This record gives sequence, structure tokens and C-alpha cells, in this order.
Amino acid sequence: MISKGINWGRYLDIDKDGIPYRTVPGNMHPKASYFARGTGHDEYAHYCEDPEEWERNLDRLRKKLDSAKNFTPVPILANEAGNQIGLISYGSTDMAVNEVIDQFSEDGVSIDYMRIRALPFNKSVDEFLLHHEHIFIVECNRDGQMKDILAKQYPQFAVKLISISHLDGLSLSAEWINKEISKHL
Amino acid sequence: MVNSKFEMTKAFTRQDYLGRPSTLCKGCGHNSISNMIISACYELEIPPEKFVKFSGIGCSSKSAAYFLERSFGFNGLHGRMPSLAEGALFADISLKGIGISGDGDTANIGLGQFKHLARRNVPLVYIVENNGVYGLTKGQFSATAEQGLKLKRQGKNPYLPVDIAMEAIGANASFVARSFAGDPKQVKELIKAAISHEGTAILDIISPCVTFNNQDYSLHSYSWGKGHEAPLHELEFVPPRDEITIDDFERGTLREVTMHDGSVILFKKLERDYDPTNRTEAIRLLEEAIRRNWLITGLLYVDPNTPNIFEMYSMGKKPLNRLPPEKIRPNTNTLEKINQSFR
Repeated sequence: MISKGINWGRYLDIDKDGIPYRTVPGNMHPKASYFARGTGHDEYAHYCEDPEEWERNLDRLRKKLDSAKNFTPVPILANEAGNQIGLISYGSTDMAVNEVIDQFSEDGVSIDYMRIRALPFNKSVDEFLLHHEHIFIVECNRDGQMKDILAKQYPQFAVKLISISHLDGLSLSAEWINKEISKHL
Repeated sequence: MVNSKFEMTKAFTRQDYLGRPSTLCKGCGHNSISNMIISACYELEIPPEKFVKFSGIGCSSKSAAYFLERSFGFNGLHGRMPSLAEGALFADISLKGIGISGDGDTANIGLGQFKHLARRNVPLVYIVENNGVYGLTKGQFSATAEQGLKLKRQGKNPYLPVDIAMEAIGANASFVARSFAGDPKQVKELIKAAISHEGTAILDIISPCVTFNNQDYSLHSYSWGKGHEAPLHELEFVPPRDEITIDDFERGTLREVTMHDGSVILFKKLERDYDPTNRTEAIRLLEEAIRRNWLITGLLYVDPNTPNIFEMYSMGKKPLNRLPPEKIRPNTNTLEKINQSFR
């Protein structure tokens, strides 16, 4: 790109997706280097305190987060059978959640499961929220923060979200998740 | 001319090694050091793209933007420049690292990282721009400020100072120098020697802060440095391509240390015959300098043959960041075998 004479800057949004191109040390082109710094900078990574530059950079970051939806790891859907009850979880709760879904299945209650793997949320999260009537957000967290993030980002679905969260220093157990979900069924 | 360690495709001018305009105070010692880094790199004829710059936080760490604009640079967390440099240099062993730190960044918050970098002998030119104060936050005492120093608004420093050169030698650093920003010729020669060194090269450079700590009585001021500097030797760095001529030196007054790449550091004896390869003597001399209030400058200690961290890990010649994924990541079958071996 630089060799072709395209104007490159570390934070310059060339193709308008908010995600600038990056060079790495070892690139020997005389125009490839930049100085990554903690202070305010312009689109060429030069020190800068200009409010307009600052705002432009922050606006680009918003655009970058929007674009990132298309590139972050997609959620994994398990047991998607068009049920009315959905369950969203993430990280180390996965095995306990799978066990809980099996337990409910044996009792004749079928639950669709989505394991989120990245923020910002992929488009498939929107779909999952849209197509389920009750959605349990199971997380190993004191405050149920994933539920809050989902509610903030999708206020239209907030009333469907039921927080199942707990933090005592240990992994969530299938027994505890089962007991908490059962209170709502 | 071609520096033996680096490819050279064309002649460079000094302009090619410049950085952005400095925003530091006029007269700051750090600006003088930046200029000497530019001169040293230019005179060694190493392509600017072959360097990579690292810094922590502070006035010193800002200065990494003021030289070698054609080199990649990273302004890291306070006191964490060493780990940043170690990781980046592991990823690309073909690059030459220059780390810029300050006395607060190195001797206060970063002391642990500093010492571990030195004992691992990571190939890095580690320059401490030492002015005894936190200039960026309006002049609080740093760990290298001398006991009893009085500063406006700060009062009197009750603590004994950390001696960066002593700490470096204590951590088994393989190249330890002290210099003074008011002695640019010596600074430049030491930087050249440090670039040639294939391990950690610590340069503790007294670099006066003209705004907060340049009183005549301060051990980090220009006037004190000029009045108390006691150079150990006159030194000259001779790159591997150049023939050594000793026209300027009388025979019998020279010491030579041959570096790993074939370059030579020439030491001309001054008042004392100092052997920079004698670690015990370096420690003794630093103790004496503290007692006698000397600003000892020069190459205090060097061992060009200490294995560096890449040699310890038998790194191949090809940088990791140029290897394809199949060369750096085991395939599924291999990974399964490894996992099985732990069961």
C-alpha cells in the first residue's frame, strides 16, 4: 500500500470501516514506522492536542467497534430447535450449562443455548434475542454484567432477559444453575 | 560503507535519523542525548528501520519521539519498558532495540523490571536519562535524588539514593556505563559501543532538568556535573570495518576491548589505569565515587562474551515474526501427542 503511494497513517481510516491498516516492526519501508504513544495523537501517530483531531479519532473508534461485529468470533449455537426458552452464557460456565440443558431435556423442557465468544455482539445475537420469549443469562459474575450489557444494547428485548449470576470464587455448578432456572419455570 | 551487522542499501544522511521536534524544555539534557543518539546511529551507518525504540513514562520517555522517526517506537507503561522490549525483540531478533527511560521510570516504579532485564542480558541499549526528579509531574524527588537535596515546594529529601550503575552491576549487567549530558562526545561514543554490544547495555546518563533540579548544589545539575565529572578514560568506538590507528594515542596508554561483532572500544588512560572488564573494580570504584562525591563517567564494566537471552534459548537466525504459522505452531496430531504425554 505504502509502496503504491497511498497515503498511509497508523490511525488513518483509508477504506472507511474505522479499522486502519497496521505495520509492524521489521517492515523496512522508510514510511512504515510509527510511534505508538499514550498521549493524544493525530492520524499519523504524531503528538497532537487538537480537539478536532481528538474527536475524529474517537468517532473512528466508534465506527471501528461497529465494523468489528463482522470480524469477531461468532457465537456458538447449541441445541437450537426453535424453542421459546433461550439461554446465553460465556466462558467457563459452558460445561455446567450443557449439563443443565441435558437435565432439563430429560424432564421434557427444551432450551436453546448460545455461547457468546466476543464483544461487540455479532448479528446472530440480535436474532437469538428476537426469536426467544424468555432468555436466561447465566454468568459467573457478581453483578450480572453481561445481562446489563445486553439490556443496554438491546433495550427492546430487556424485559425478556433473566439474570442467573453468582460469584463465590468457584465455577458455577450445574446443580446451582438448575435450581435458579427452575424458580422461573 | 556497510555496517557488518545490518544490510545497507544506500547511503544515509543525518536527516534520515532525525525525529519530531522536541517539546521538552529548552536546555533539557534529554535533548542533547537525543542528538547524540542520532549522531551515533548515523555514524554507524545502520539503516534507521533496523532500530526499534521503547520507552516508559516521563519526560525521558517522551524523548523517544525526538530521534529516529523512521524507526518503530512504543511508549509503554510506567516502568514496564523492559518487558515490552523483551517481547518485541524476541519477536524480531534482527532488530536493534533502544530503550529510553528515566530515573523514576527505572529506579522507582521500574526497578524490578530493570534488574531482571539486566540479568537476562536482553540485547537492548538501555539509556536512563537521570535527572533526579519527576519533571513531568512538576519536580518531585525520584529515587536517584541525593539525600538532603532541597527543592522548591518539595522540602528536603530524607532518603539515600539508588545508584543505577551499582544496581545494574549488582544484577549482572554485561555493559554498564555512566555519562553526563554535558559531555556529548563521550555520550556518543558510549552509545555506539552500546549498540555494538549484543546484550543489555545500561547507560546511566546524568541529564539535568533545567526547570526543577539544576541548582548548583544539586548532584544532577550542569554546573555540578561540569565541576565534578571524573572521566575514567577517553574512549573511542571503532566499528569492525575500520582499521585501528593509534596515531592520537601514545603506546602503553591504551586498553582495547573487542566486541562480539569485531568492533573495538579503545580506552585511553587518563589519571588512573582502569580495567573496564573487572567487575569487582567497578563496584569498588562506584563506592569510592559515592564517598568522594565524584561523577565518575565512562564505561564502568563490560563483558562482551556473556551469552544473551537469545543464545540462552538457542533462537534460530530467522525472526519469529517472519516464520509461517506451521513453523511456530504444532499441528493437531503433534499437539495431541504432547497432551497425551502429560496424561
